[in-house]
Amino acid sequence: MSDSYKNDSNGRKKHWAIWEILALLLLIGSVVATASAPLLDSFLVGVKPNEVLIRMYAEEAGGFEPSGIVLIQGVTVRLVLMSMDVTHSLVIPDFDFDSGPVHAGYRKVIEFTPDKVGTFMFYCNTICSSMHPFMNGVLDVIQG
Amino acid sequence: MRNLKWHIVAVTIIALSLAGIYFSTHLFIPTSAQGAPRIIDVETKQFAFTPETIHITTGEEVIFRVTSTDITHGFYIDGFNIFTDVPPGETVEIGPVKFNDPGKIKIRCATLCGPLHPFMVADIVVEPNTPYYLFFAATIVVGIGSIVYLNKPRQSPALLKRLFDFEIDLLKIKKIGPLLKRVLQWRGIHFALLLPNLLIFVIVLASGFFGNPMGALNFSIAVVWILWFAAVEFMILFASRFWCTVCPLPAFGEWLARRRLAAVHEPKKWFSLKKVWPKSLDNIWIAALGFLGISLIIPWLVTRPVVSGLLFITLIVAALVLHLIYTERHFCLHVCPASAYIGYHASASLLAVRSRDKSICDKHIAKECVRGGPKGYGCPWKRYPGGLDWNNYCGQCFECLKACPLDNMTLKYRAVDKDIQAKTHTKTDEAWMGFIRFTLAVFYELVFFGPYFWIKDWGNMGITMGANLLSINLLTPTLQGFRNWLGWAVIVSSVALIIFPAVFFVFSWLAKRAAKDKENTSKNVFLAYSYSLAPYGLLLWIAFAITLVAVNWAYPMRAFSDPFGWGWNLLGTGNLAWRPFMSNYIPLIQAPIVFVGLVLAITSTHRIGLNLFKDQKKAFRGTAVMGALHTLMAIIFITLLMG
Repeated sequence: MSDSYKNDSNGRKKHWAIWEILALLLLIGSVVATASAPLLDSFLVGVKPNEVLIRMYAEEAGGFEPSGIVLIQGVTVRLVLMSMDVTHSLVIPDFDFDSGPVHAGYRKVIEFTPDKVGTFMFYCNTICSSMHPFMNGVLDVIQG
Repeated sequence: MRNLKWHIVAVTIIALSLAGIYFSTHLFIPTSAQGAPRIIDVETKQFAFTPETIHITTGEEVIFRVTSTDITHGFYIDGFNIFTDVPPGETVEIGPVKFNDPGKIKIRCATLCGPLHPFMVADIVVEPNTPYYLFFAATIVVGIGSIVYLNKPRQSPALLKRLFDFEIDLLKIKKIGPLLKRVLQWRGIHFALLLPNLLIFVIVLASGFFGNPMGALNFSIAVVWILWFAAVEFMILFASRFWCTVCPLPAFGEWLARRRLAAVHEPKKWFSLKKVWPKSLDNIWIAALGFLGISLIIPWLVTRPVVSGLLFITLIVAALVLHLIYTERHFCLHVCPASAYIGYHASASLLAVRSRDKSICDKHIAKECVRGGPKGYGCPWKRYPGGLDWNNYCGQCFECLKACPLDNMTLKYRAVDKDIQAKTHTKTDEAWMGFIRFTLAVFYELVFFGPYFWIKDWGNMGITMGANLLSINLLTPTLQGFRNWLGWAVIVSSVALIIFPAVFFVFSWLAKRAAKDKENTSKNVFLAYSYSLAPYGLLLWIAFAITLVAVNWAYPMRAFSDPFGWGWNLLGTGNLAWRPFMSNYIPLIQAPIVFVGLVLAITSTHRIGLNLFKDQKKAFRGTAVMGALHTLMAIIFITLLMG
């Protein structure tokens, strides 16, 4: 009985072990590769060096991410605003900046040049959950 | 041949007159509704429109004045190119919109507003609702027509015979057959099919636990509960348990127990305690009740990535543990809820693994299909493949095709009622699986695509947040929310477990009385008749799945490009806009599917009756009574869709 598992009908030895090892390597390799996909976020999200990515969640789920950004006075950046769950917006009252509504699953890219130095607050200006009034972040503008 | 001609003539006349009546209803647009458009105030909130149903006269012009009481919503009407934002604190005027086509259509939220956003709908009934009256009448005609057709034994005309009474040996088809056989007998085929699916599954778990908390933008929800779910319903009909062939859930357990990925290993060297599965659990009660249990949390499961992630990991661990204790596919046979319903409906599938000549198998003592051999494992589903006449528990792993030294196993494409014809089945667990599935097909259409908010809210425990593993605390319900959910749980389980089975019992008891049958117990008649729900329930689920995909196809497409909902765009479909596909015509596609289900239910009932009573006249009387119930259920479903 057990010979028939090792040899084929012509009595030649089956090379199952090689195929098993290949399959195992393929399995482990592809699973590890797939599972590490989240680590590639910063590459795959498609944000260029002069762009600043801000993801917006409802305050209960994290609010602005990051909630603190540092910019250099007089240097123009492109703010990439991405709503993650429901419609949000980003306003910086000290700079009269208002992104307008950004819908969940979409991004808005807006150029922004900070002309004053200091620490400023930014807010969500579209009611987005019961904790909406607490959804805010800090913008630091430093001298270049 | 004369007979056949009449059939074709009759079918053509019916089809033409239905189409004619349907389109003629569109011609009579009253011109009386002139003057200023009517203004209708609509209020939106997470996840409802108020009013829930709006009645409009055909030809009327309407301006919708829409406000939001919480966050930003959107406004879309089936069949109109209107996608308008409704920001909080503003009054948005939409229109004037002119409603020229009578019938029921839906207002849908067009701007992602939370987990239950895809199910935020309201009804617009454009009166007079002639399409509904027409399809209501058509349901009765189809139901009664099918019953009357069965009143005497009929020699099916050749065309019908080819359509409804065929059996094809797929491995004997010219050219394709031998190729298919080689593929299926290749030892690596199972692994090769599994691997891509397993990788998809890794993404499902990763996105479920760590991806975007909003289900519609998360692979684990958008692909699994829109695409996979719908695909499986179709797959059952055309390919039986093919999902089980490629399902990655039990793979880890099976590989570990066999200590092989693809090659055959001697059973005595398997890594398993090799315990015997307990007799008392040799049924699908765990799986059927598990399916109902999952239904109790369905509003969460299909909208919250973490809930799906946790369910899948639980199933994987359960499969692994059960493989190491009992060997073989006891997880699939007795525990997996998906396996239970796929198997239940698979008895009404077109595809089946069968022996070519059962007598050869019966005489063949070695029975590699059961005991295993050097070319293939013995049936991991603990069947005797050579004697299969019932699809339910054949997992389509194709091991018997590999193991059989006599080349007697094959794949058959056959008529949907072959299994029911083969013998009478009267298992309580399977019957209740059928009741649960059938009830939920109707119930889900009402809950998910009906306008009634309270019932969605009860099932959802009133929670407006999505969640992944890191924000799972957001799913903590309030006491009131939990109480409401208990109400939902009581409604769902009592309808599925008690009320519908009770109604079915009453009808089957009447059917037995009408058939003047003394041979069978009422219990057996009841259980046997319940199998007519296998094709019927499946087609209702297909009808349900069509809405889901036609309206929300954009979400899975986006998720393939952006599995974690983080803003990636791998394949270029990451920014697709949500655009329902022909959503105003969905009921017109669903209704014929319901009719096919109804016809199959009635013909299956008749087959079962013939097996039970062994007499055409008795069977017909039974069919007439059960057919009335089937027709009634179809009317209820059509009313949900169009009424």
